[in-house]
Amino acid sequence: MRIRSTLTASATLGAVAVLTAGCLSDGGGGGGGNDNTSTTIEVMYAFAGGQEAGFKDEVNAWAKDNDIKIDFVQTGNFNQLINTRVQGNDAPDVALFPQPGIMKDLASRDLLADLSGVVDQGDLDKMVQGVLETGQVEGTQYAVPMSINVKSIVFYPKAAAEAAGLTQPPQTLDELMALTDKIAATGTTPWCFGIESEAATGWPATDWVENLMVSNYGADVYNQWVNHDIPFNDPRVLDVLNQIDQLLLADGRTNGGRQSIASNNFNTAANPMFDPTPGCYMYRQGNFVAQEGGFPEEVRANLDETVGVFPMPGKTAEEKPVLGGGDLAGIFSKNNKSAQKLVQFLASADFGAQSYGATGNWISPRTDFDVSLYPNQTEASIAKIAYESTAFVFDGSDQMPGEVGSGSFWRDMTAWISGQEDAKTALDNIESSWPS
Amino acid sequence: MIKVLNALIAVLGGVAGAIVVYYLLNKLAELLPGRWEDRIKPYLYLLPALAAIGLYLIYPTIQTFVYSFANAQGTAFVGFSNFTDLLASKNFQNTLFNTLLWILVAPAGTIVIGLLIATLADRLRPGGEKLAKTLIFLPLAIGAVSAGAVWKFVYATNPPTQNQIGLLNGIWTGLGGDPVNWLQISTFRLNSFMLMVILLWIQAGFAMVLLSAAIKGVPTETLEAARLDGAGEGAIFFRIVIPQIRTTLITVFITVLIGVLKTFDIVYVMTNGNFNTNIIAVDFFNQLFTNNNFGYAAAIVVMLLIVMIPVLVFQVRQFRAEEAAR
Amino acid sequence: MAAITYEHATVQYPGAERPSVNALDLDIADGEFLVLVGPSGCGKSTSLRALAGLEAVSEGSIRIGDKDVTHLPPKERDIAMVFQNYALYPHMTVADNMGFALKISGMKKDEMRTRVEEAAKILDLTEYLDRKPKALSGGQRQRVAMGRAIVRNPQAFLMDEPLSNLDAKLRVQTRTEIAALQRRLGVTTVYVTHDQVEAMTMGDRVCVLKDGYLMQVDTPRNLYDRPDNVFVAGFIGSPAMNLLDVDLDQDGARVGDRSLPLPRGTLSVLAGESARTATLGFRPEAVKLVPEGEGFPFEVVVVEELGSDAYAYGTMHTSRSSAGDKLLTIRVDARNVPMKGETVHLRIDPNEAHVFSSETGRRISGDGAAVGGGATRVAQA
Repeated sequence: MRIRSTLTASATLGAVAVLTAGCLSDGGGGGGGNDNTSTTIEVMYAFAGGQEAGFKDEVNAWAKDNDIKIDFVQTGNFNQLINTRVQGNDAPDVALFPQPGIMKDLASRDLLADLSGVVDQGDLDKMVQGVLETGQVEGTQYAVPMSINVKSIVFYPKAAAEAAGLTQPPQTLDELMALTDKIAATGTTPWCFGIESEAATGWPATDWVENLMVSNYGADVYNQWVNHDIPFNDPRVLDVLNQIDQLLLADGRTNGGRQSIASNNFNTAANPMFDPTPGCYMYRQGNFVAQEGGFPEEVRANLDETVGVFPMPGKTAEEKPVLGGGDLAGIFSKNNKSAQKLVQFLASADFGAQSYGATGNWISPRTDFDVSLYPNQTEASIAKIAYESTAFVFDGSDQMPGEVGSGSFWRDMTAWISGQEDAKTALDNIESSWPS
Repeated sequence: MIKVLNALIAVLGGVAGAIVVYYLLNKLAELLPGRWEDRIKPYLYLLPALAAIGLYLIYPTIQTFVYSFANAQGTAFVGFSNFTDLLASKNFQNTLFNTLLWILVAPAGTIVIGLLIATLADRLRPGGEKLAKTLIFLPLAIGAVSAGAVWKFVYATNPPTQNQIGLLNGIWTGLGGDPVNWLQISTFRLNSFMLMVILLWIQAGFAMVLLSAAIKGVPTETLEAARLDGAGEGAIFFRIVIPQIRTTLITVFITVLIGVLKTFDIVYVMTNGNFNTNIIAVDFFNQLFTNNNFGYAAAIVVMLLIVMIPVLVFQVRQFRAEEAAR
Repeated sequence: MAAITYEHATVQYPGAERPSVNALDLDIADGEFLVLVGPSGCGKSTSLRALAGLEAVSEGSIRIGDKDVTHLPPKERDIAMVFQNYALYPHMTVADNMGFALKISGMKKDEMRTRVEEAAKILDLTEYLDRKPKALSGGQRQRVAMGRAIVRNPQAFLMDEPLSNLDAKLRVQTRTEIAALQRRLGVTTVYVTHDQVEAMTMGDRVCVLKDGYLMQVDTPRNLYDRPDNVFVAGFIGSPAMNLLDVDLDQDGARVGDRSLPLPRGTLSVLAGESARTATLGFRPEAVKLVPEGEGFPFEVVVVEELGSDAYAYGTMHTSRSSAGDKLLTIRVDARNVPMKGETVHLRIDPNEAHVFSSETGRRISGDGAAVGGGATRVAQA
């Protein structure tokens, strides 16, 4: 009886398996764009908090003047949601892509509008160099930048750092190394460094690697590396890791030492800079660390007096590459005039001039944006770092496949920094995790 | 307001829909000749529930099996390569080893701690017992993620120049040590054991409540009889009390074991599997949601399922044996 | 085997108003079967548990043999106990249950097996040795509990109402068996029961307790014939002794308009106490029906026929009686029972009349000889 029922069960299971065996996914194809032509348009984006509030204020004021009604859709899980909605024939009219990868994928499937005729190409020259290109597929503009963030910034406590020998911002990587040695020689630790970020632990380390990749080898090699045209474990990357080792991981270079990095939260890692006797003097991080949630309240209240910034230097004094990111505006409803108008506005020098720029939560990608509109000197300096850059590259881990960009890259950097893997093993592991 | 209205409509519509479905099924059954009506009716009434189980449980399970033999996107079959790749990878071997450690240590640890607390609490005055039990039971109510947040403060480490906000480091540095990154110590899998402590902290209350009730259910006279028979407290506990609460012990053990196999939140929140603390459920999550690798994710679930089936079979048997003994 | 002595033993639970056992003095001879009996809450079980070491003695001492065990843990007292619910270990077989104490003491396996098998043979449990208690009947479980005590070969057996979970028929049978077994083994036994019939049939001596106080300890015969006080008089015997509050006159006790002559010795003791009332007790079988005019009138309310005997329940008027007189019991000839509502006349055998002080409840008697007042027994019904 038992045998019989087992047989029956397995036969049934087998039959069902055979029936469903063909049911594999069709690879995410299908779905479509959007044929909405009304003046009510939907905008989807990933940013939140103050950045979102400022955005809504600015856009709403503009929309009112232009008789356009805008539905704002914020999602923390942009990439997944946009795919789902495209598959479900429910794409928003305008999407502000936080990373170029998925935008390029959708554009190459002909789901996004060609913006060549929508925005004035000549006017776009004013965009930060390199940012505009991230919105192109094979030379065609499918998305335009509407905000940037800058990660190649070194923050320092003004008075204390100057006393410790930081009188002139280093112009080259060698000078940065020399400065590091100089501060370390006095018995204090030059750098603040922390890569703890809950489940995303490790990403601040990837920013360091990427920054030094572009600083050492320039935007082209950087982009080849990001696009896996050269292997992840290329010897040049190993050199970068060794550079980080000298700069940050060697004894006496980082506050708390190498072992503290993986458990030190990136948001608060810089706080010892502001102690009466600073625990460290330099912190490389994105501009957001100067916003709410980053530096201590009393530091932010007095930002310009307390905090100085200088850009991460390039190989030579002439090279000023910048690592950053930004949001790219693209259109799904190809024939929607309102959507086109909105994107034109977002790409123009007017966008942000009314209120958004003054919030301190947004940096314009346009070099002709009036930096005096930013709420403080520090933010203006940060914007200028981007505007004066010789090359602007997007955060590489954001563009790499998920397995790498938010998987093995984070993970193996964490393992390397905390001493569980040596540099070569870490890079080899990441390379082997790259999906074929 | 609209949302409330929507919810209301959904609830009313759902109930009304269910009524209509059952009404129609009933009518359908009534069309059948008398004897058949009675025979078919129960199945007709079971039909919607069975269909729901089939749709939401059996179908996804089978699909998972199917996907475990497909590539990362689930677009083509790749045979057993998901399984062989995973099993050959050093990381996954580590993950499996950690999971095995969890399975071996956590349920047994929970039982031991739960028993200890239950036995000790049993000897307190009624007021003290109630208070102690409430306190120990509390972690169960706050959930694993919140527990993780609490324990972050226990294991937290700041650079040596900063104040230590972590309890453990507070004590450690108070005793003169240098701050230690507790969760990064993978020697002897110390960090995995530290994560297990959190599970123990959560589950001990559950174990304690069940075991305490079971211990109280042991007839006092058998203890007195054993005392007169010359048994010491140890012999009484191990030879008289433990055998009499055996079924509860097994129930608790299996419940915690299944919980351990599914444990995700603690590791995800505390380390996300870094520092060699990865376990199978976290790996599954990362394969699916970080790497978008349906093939690996499905293969991991299938392996987890294969490990769980014997446990479930044993549990069902045990449950039946208990029912029969009643 | 050993004698057991309670010396002023007092057990008071923490927080209790009065002691559960109050200064108990009791000597139990080696090999004796002593029954502790009394209504619930009298302290009989507590006395036993104090002896077992399961309750702490707050004052006084307990000795087993020459050893003062007052503060020794149970395991060092070398005693075996049979519990009311048997307290068998449910997870062990009958053999393991019986052998547990031996195993704990570190006895060799073969010797243990032999002892268990011997005990099983005595108790007719041989074929059940491999069963778990769950698979046994109530009577069998009771025998396992006995067996567990027997294999130990202890200084004393303590039994706490071991028969109360058996049905009536099995109870009667088992009590004979236990008594016989105890006689055979000769182990000092302290047996607790609330059932005075059990007490009377099993004990060499019976100890009656009430509210923690010892009321009387004596052989069953003496308890029945010469209860020390009203409580023992009313407690021992079934049906119970009739107890009447009576006025005294020169010759004896006034019952209705007649007087029951009492022995001179008794009267003089009462006179010495200048008592004007007393409690008169007589057992149901101590009366004889006599023609009208010769005895005390007794109004029959209910008649119970038991086959060999018959009992009539009714009321008698005393000078002190008021409305709602309590029912008295008399034994009547089973072949010749009075009718309900009929008034019969009784003669109470003066030699079997018990007189107790109204004030203290104590038995009134000068010495043993004085009880009967030297009169011959008349009431040989």
